[in-house]
Amino acid sequence: MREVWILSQHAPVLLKVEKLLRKPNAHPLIHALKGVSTAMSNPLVTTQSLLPGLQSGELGASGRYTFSLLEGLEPVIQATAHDYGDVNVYIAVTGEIAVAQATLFPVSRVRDTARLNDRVLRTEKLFDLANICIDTHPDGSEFYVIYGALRATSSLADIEYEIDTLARNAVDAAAAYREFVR
Amino acid sequence: MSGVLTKLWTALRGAANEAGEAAVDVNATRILDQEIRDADNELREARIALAGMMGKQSVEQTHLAEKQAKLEEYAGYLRQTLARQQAAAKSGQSAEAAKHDGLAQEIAAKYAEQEALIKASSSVIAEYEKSIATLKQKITAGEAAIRTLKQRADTVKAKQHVIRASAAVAAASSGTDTHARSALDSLERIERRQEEALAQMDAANSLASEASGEALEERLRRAGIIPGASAASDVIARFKHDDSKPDGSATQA
Repeated sequence: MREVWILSQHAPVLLKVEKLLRKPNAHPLIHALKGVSTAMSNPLVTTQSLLPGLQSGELGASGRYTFSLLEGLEPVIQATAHDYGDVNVYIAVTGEIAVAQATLFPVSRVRDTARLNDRVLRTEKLFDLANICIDTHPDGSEFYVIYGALRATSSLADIEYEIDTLARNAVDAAAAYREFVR
Repeated sequence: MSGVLTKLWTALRGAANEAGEAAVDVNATRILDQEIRDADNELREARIALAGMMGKQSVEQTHLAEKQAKLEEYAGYLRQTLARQQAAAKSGQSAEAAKHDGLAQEIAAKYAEQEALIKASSSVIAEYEKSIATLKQKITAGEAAIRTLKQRADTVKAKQHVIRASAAVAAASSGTDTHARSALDSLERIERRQEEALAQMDAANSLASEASGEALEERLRRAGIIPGASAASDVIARFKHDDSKPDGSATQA
C-alpha cells in the first residue's frame, strides 16, 4: 500500500493500472512502462528545445560556434562555425529525426555536373556521418548540399558531434570538389 | 517498402517531365504520408485479425478441454464395465458377462469417437497457432515498416525546413554576397584568412628586423661594405694563399 499523487483527471487510468498491478502477472504493463521510461530518459528534442542546449553546450560556450533561431513557418537553428570559415549549418527537428545541413555550392557554378557527380559518388564515403545531395530552393535554384540525419532522441553531445563533423566535412568537401566549380 | 521507392521514382520522373525536380520533395511527403496511412490501416486490420484468431483459439481450447474430460469419463466407465464383465465371467454369470461386454463395446465406440474429435480439435488449434504466429510476424514487420516510413517522412520534412531556411538566408544576404555562407565561400574565407595571417607575419618580421637595424646591415653586407661571413671558397682560397697558418689567422686577402 502506498499513496500516489496524480492529476484528478487521470484517476480512471490509475484505477485500471491499479487493477492490473494487483495481478501477480502484470507483464504487459511492465513491458509498456519500459518503453515509457526509455522515452523519458532521453526525450525527443524539438528545434526550440535544442537551441538553449546548443548555446550553453561545449560548442556554444567555447565561442567556436554561434547558434541562433531562424523564425519562420518552421523554426530552424542556424549554427555558424567560426573555426570553419563561418560556414552555416542549419538544424531542423521533425518528429523523430534531426537533420543538420550545409550548402556546398550552387549547381549553376559547376562546369561538368556529370563528372562531379561521378566524383561525389566515389568519394562521399570519405565524409563520415554525412550524405551529399542536390536540393532545390523554392525559387528553383539548385545547390549541392551535405547533410546528416540522426534520431531526435540523440544526446546533446551526439548532436554537437554531428554539427561539428558536418561543418568540417562541408569545408573539406568544398575543397575536394572545387576543381569542378567555376 | 520497395513499392514506396517505386512510387517515389515514378513521381520523380513525372515531376522531371512536368514542373522540375522541385516537385519531388513535395511528392515524396505526400506519397510517404499516404503510405504511412495505408500501413497503419493494414496494421490495424492485422491486429483485429490476431485478436479474432486468438479468441477462436481460446474457444477451441475450451472445447478441447471438455472433450478430454469426456474422454476421461468414458475411460472410467470402460474400466468399470470391463471389471464387472470379468467378475461376471469368473463367477459363471454368462448372461451378465455378455450384457457388460455389449456395454463395453458401446462405450469403446464412444471413446474412439471422442478420440477422433480430440485429434480434430487439436489440429484446428495447431492451425490457429500457425495463423497467430504469421499474424504476429506480419504485425512486427508492419510496425518496423511504419517506423522506417515515418523516419523517411520526418527526414524529408526536416530537410524541407532546412532548405527553406537556407533559401531565406541566401535571399536576405543576396545584396552583399550572392553565395553567402556556402561551404565553398567558407573555404575561400579560411584560405584568405590564412594568407592574411601569413602576410601579417611577413610584415611583422620585416618591421622587427628594420627596427633592430638588421635590414641596413644586411644591405651593407650585400654591398660588400661590411665584410660578411666567410664562404667556404674564401676559406680554401686563404689556405692556398698562405698554408703556413692553418689556424685561420691568416691576414686578409
